[in-house]
Amino acid sequence: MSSLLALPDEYDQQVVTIRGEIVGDYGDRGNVVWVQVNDDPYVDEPLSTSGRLAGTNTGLSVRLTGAIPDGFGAPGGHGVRGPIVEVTGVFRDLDPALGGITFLEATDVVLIESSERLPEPGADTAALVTGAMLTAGALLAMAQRRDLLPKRSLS
Amino acid sequence: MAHDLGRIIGVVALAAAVPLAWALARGEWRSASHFLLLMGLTTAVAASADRLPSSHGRNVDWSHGMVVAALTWLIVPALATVPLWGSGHYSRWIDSYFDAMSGLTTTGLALVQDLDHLPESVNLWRHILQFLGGQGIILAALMFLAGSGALSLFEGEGREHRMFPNVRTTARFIWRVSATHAAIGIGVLASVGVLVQGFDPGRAFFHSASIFMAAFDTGGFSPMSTSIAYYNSPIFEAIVAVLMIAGAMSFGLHHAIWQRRRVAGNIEVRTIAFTFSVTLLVTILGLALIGVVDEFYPLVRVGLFHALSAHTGTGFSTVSSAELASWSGLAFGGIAIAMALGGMSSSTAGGVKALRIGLAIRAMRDTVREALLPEGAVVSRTFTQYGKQHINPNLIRSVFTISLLYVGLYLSGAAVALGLGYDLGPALFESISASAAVGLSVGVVSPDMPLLLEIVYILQMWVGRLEFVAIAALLGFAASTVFGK
Repeated sequence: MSSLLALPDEYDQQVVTIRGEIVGDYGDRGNVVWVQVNDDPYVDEPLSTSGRLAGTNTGLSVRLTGAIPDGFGAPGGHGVRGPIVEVTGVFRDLDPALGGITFLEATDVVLIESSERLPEPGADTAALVTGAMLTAGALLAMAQRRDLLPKRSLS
Repeated sequence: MAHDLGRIIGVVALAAAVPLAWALARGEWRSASHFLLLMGLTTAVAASADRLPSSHGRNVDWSHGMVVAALTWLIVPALATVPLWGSGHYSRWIDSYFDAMSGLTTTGLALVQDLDHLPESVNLWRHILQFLGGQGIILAALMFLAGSGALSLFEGEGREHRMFPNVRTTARFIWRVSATHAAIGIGVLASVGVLVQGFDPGRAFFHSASIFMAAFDTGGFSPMSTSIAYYNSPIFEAIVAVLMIAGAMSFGLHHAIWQRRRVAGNIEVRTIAFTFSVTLLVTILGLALIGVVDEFYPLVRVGLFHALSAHTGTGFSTVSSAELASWSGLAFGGIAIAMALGGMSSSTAGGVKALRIGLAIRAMRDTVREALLPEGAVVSRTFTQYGKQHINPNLIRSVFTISLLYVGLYLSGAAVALGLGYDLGPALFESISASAAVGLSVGVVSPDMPLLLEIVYILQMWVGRLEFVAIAALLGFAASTVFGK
């Protein structure tokens, strides 16, 4: 996909096949569905499970005909590795018919792997405790400063 | 000084409550704990400053107000990194500081990695930073604060025009304008998201709120890695364009429009209409010459959106960085010049600003007229901006000084990038983008960029947003502290 994005002119109107993860949303517009397919290292090694950073995302808009077939599952996002698909279609660079959109007009979509829910990390305990203590302490200090707390008298 | 700084920083704690609530609603527990830590830290800093015995009962003079403004814009990004760095989407802490500074200065350059899997609450936080920074962190605090230093704090944040004699009333007006635009902008974008783009209503709201904050505050962050290209919709682009224009308009102009006053003769309106028309034509001509797009409608759509995005200082794009980098010649020049010129003064946009460009042109024209007219003839030196105003030598000196400082800022970043081995074109483009708070990128800004260049861009964003004066005051304060008066 990097070469498609780097040299869009050369691939314009060509039939290409890409493999990647559907991320974001299913833009269901009735007879077509718009999706973003990412082809980057996170497809095979999601950050939340591997913990390995591998740069920014590389994605391309894909227009699918019809509805999203059953079994795809939720698109990728935080806590979800989206469906992995192989899409074959015509690459259109700044397509005049759609007013200058660059996308892949899909003619064939193969589901390789359904989407998968990834384990959501629990709360960062240290951050939670420190944050709660700091907030409570600071609010108490400010309340005392503004004489909002009752004063204790010595008997 | 510490007292004011503390209370301004306290605004961040209030702002963090929104993504905290979002994180709790979406079950993003780790992010929620980081937002709680952020709220605790900012509240503790605010409380500590409040308890400093020397910080009460002292008037804030002009220079102290400027120093507070400059320090605020260094400290707040550092605090704002807590949830960003905690997300695990940054290689180095300074990358998260870069993004926080980029967000607050409404630049829009980003070093976040795997953005498409970032927790929604953290993504929302990035956009809230743009909203907070675009409106002005200090301006937000001025809604609640009042005092002798309010005016210098207001001006220290790079604002010049007050709509009302009272700074606090001006701050409230600016927030009222923004709230009105938010209600309409988010509502319309969300409706398009659901009805036209077929998004799930919850996600449509998330996208529309994020894009509204980035567009109206001319920030340029987007919730997805492909920026506005993600939406594949001319209607969506048109609404975003309207919001970008509204963001690049000065709040003084918003005030005049709200009061139904004539704005056609306003020097800023006339200047920006002229400079935008020229840069748009140059960009479209350039795109046609290099054959990026052949047909009229896509040529105008792509050219218009990017020229507008550059001139308003937003930084949204509908093409990839790689494709943008391939725009050479006139197209490159049109976009780069549009970025350098920027929006209106006292708006959320950066750059040299239309008022300075207009006044510089007027001053040059008057000088030529004076030379051509008979000796003793008097040339009227006035301009129209919310009424007739006189051009005096001090104003012109200030216009040329700040404009030249911007040019110097653009060149200094480019020189560093050149020294690090980048080509002149990308080096200049990225430097202008950082200094003028735009955010368009041809690929120089990336997670593996040299640390030195990253620091230079951070400084450029900071200096460009505050428009030099507050920085000079901070440097003077630091020098007097170290060397004594």
